[in-house]
Amino acid sequence: MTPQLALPWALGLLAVLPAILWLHRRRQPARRILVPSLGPWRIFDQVPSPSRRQFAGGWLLIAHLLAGLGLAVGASGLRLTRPGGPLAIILDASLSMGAAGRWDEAREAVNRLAAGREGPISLIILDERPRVLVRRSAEAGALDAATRDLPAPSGPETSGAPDLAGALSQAASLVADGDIVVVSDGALDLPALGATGSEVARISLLRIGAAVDNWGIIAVRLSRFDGTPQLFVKMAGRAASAERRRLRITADGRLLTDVLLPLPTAGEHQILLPLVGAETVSRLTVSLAGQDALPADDVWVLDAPMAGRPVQLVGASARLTRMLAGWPDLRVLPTGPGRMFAAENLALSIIAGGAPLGPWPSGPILFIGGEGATDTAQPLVWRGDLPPWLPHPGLPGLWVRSQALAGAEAPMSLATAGDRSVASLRVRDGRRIVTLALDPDAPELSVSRSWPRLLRWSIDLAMSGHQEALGQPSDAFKADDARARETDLHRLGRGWTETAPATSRITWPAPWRLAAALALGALLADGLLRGRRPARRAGAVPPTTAGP
Amino acid sequence: MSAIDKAGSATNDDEGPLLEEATLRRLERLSLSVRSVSDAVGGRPGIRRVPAADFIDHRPYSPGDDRRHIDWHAAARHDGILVKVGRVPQAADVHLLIDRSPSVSAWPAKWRQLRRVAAALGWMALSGGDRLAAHAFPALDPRREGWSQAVGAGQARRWLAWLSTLRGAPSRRTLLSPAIRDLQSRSGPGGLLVILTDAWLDEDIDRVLAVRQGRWNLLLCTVLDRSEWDPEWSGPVMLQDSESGLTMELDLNPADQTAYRQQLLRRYEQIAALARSRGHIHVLISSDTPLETALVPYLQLQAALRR
Repeated sequence: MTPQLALPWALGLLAVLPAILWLHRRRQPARRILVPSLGPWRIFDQVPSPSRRQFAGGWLLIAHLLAGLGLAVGASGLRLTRPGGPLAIILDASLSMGAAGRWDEAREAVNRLAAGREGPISLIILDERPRVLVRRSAEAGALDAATRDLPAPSGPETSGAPDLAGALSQAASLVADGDIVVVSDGALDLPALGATGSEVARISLLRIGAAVDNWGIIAVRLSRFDGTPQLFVKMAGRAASAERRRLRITADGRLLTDVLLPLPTAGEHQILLPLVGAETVSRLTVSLAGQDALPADDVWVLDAPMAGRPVQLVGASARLTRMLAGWPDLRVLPTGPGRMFAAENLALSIIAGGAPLGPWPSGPILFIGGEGATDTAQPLVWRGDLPPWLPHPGLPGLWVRSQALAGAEAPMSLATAGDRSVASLRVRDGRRIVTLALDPDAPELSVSRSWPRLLRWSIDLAMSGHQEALGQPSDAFKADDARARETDLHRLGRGWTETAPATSRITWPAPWRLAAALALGALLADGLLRGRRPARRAGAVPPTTAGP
Repeated sequence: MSAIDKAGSATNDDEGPLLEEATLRRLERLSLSVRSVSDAVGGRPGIRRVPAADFIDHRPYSPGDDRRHIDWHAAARHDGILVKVGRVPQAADVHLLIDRSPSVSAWPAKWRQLRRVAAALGWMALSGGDRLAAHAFPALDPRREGWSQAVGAGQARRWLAWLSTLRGAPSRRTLLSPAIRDLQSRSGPGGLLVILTDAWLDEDIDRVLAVRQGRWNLLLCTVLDRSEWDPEWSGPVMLQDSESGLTMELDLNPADQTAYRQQLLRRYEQIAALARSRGHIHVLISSDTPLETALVPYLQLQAALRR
């Protein structure tokens, strides 16, 4: 084991040792005796004896010197014993880590952690797709080499929430019962330990940076509702005072909207803007004007915003599949019956038959079909008391063959055919579930122009929402929040055990440092108090006694 | 307790007259013995044979001799005129050099004892008809600050008064040989020189004792404070020189005190031996020694005094 100094500059505290000697020189004995002459006493200068010739201060001086030495060595982080065992370091590479020197600080913290550890060390980069950069390396400089050229997170392409659960899972597979240290600026919620795949790994957070004033765009979504594209923009941040900033939306370089937003001192702000003519744009850029600590999160770019939103189609017929695939803003992912993705990045799950083998998708769902379809078609009748926030679909002359709703749970019925509810809406766990209880493959629908419109209206209804319907303002885009870009809002996440760089790099016992600091403080106070009556130096001051 | 303790500061300076009346009466019966005298004529028998009524011998008459001293009877028995010669009483020059440096004056008992000895010697000198001059050192202007030469018992009271008002003088260096040189340059051909000091000088005591022998008889009285001999303190102390201000840190134990006393005794023995080798007399007086028991018997032993 070779001694290592975590903070070599702290050895500068050794300068207190000469100061201690100086203070002891200033120390005066308890009694000063005026003698006619020092002549006869000079023999004690020439004949030293152990009892008399000890250095002024004696054991007290030795204790003070040891205290000063202990303080300097302790503060420098001399490693007398190094903790062992495997260590996995998860380095947060999300966008906010690129602000205000946090990236350099994080890399330095990673190297400090590695320098004070014996045993295999792994490094995992945490972003949307966590990856292992160093795998169980016992080489001291491996992490330094790996992180030296690692670029700081920047630019709008670095979007999406970091997959901390995935990173922890990878780390747990590498360290087993070792330590996992997440080096991050903190806005991460610690997932349940079960999600990491290891219940025994010790997880702690090494926090980097301090909170800074910054506003950023954390979520943007362009959706179509009732035929009109609507842009939802969600911002979050904090500032020393409330301010007004401009939100600019450009489509293919053309300015569409310029809105002045009143931003509070801290919290979130969201806005819903109709964007007429945005269906055909290839690139939509949303930017927050002004300057703050992290410019990178002031811009959000949507490429082909109205196209390619992933929609899984479960158990649908070929005809229904062709119809859905015709919409350019939807990227239909047909699956077989009974096979279903539970992925969170799906914009919509259209389930035309079957049930999932695993958990239900977490996003909005559109159920089409049911059980026991009627033999004859019946006209679709919309409720007369539709909520005001729900655009009336119209759709006159649409005949459908209704089916029984499977597992209906107090749905909000929107339309009926005969005595059955055909279209219904319910909200569960903050997501919309729309049900069209009709036979999608009925022959009369194949020739109806209203049926595709009903289908599209139902898709838009499931994929969007209004606060009047859902109660909580942010619930409307909760699915999007899960993917929202992490930005510079650094409240400490929940569930963390914070660790500090000092505890990981200084193994000198804290009581020693405290005792050394107290001893030095006592010495300084003692020296200052005695300094009020300065001692005479040899030959420097005339005698004080002038005689009777 | 003051910031700086003084070793043995037990008495103050205002304890009454330096010499009591009984002591003065006793001293009047004493006279100083001077082994060599000057040409001056005074109240003390001289060794030089000159025409005198106190017959000792004859010598041939020479022009200028007092005719009253011609021994006509002897002239009748001899061929020539003879003159009776004898010893003529003469006055002696007594000079007192009084050390008033801080090493003496900062210790009241020591300072008082030194002045008591000076007072006694001066009183005896004046009572015996000698010429008395006193010089205090260190002095900015020795010619003005000293006691100018005086003769006769009538000056004795004034002498005591002058000593009573004598004060210590601050000094960082105590040098005695310049004072002696100044005294020798201003005074007559010789006399009795009495140095009253604690012998803590900033020069070699050998230089002080190198006074020309034959013309000057030197009496060195060294005064020691009781606390100098028996320091009452021990443990960690910082000693400070009363004159130079130099300091020294010590952790004293009883063995150290014994070693210190031995060193002090050795020093005074060396001074005494050196004085004897130069034909001078050395007297060591403690601050608490009664004057009669310390000064008079010793001077008697040295044949310096006679009743």
